[in-house]
Amino acid sequence: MKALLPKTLFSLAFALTLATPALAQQGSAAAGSAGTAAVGGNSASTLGAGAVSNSPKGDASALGMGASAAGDNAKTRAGVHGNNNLNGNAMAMAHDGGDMAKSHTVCHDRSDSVDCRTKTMAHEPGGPPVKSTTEGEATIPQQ
Amino acid sequence: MILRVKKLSHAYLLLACFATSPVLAQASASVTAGPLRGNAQASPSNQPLNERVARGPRTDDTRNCDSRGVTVNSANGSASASVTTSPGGSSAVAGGGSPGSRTQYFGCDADHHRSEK
Repeated sequence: MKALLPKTLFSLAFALTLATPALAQQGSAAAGSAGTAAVGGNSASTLGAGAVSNSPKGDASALGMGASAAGDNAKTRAGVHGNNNLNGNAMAMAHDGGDMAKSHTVCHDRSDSVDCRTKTMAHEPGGPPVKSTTEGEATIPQQ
Repeated sequence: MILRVKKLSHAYLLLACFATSPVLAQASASVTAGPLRGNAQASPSNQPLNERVARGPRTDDTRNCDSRGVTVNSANGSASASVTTSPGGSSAVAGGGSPGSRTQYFGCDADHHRSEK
């Protein structure tokens, strides 16, 4: 009996050691953030949405970025770079010489998490800029 | 007595396997900002195909170059993301994924950006 108990504990510990690291990374996560700034006749919007999934059949990630702006001078730009760790960037800006609206979103798609952050700014001449930040973050839960 | 201890060890092992079994839940995120709509989904690859494809209206009417969209599907279909814009103003979309994923652009970028990396 005394000899058998350590064997039982050893087999239990061995099973947990084998199972835990392999399963800790399995799961899925998705997150995104978005923002809009508008002042006068100018508006700027950006967003990003990303997903990551880890499973025994393989890891996968996807990331989408978007930017839109309306006004006299509107500029937009969006891009996604990377392979396994993805980085996304979206920028939108519109201004008419005085008023300015601007939005910027950055997303990171990592092996076990997704996080996005959007910063917006609206500015009128003579006044302080109005800024805001929104964040979205998700992590694959540890098993 | 020895038999009882063996049964007990098997029960512990079974319990350990249950406790460490993965929780493979589906995750999704939807965001909207002005004329933009974004959606991302991640799920274990053993989910049915129609439940793990990127959702969102296709904006493949190339006559309207103000409207754009991008859809990304990973190689095993377990991760996807899509972004669409409404017509009006200036707009840009971009997408990317892990190696083997398929990125499709709709709208006026469609002819220039159809990638599979």
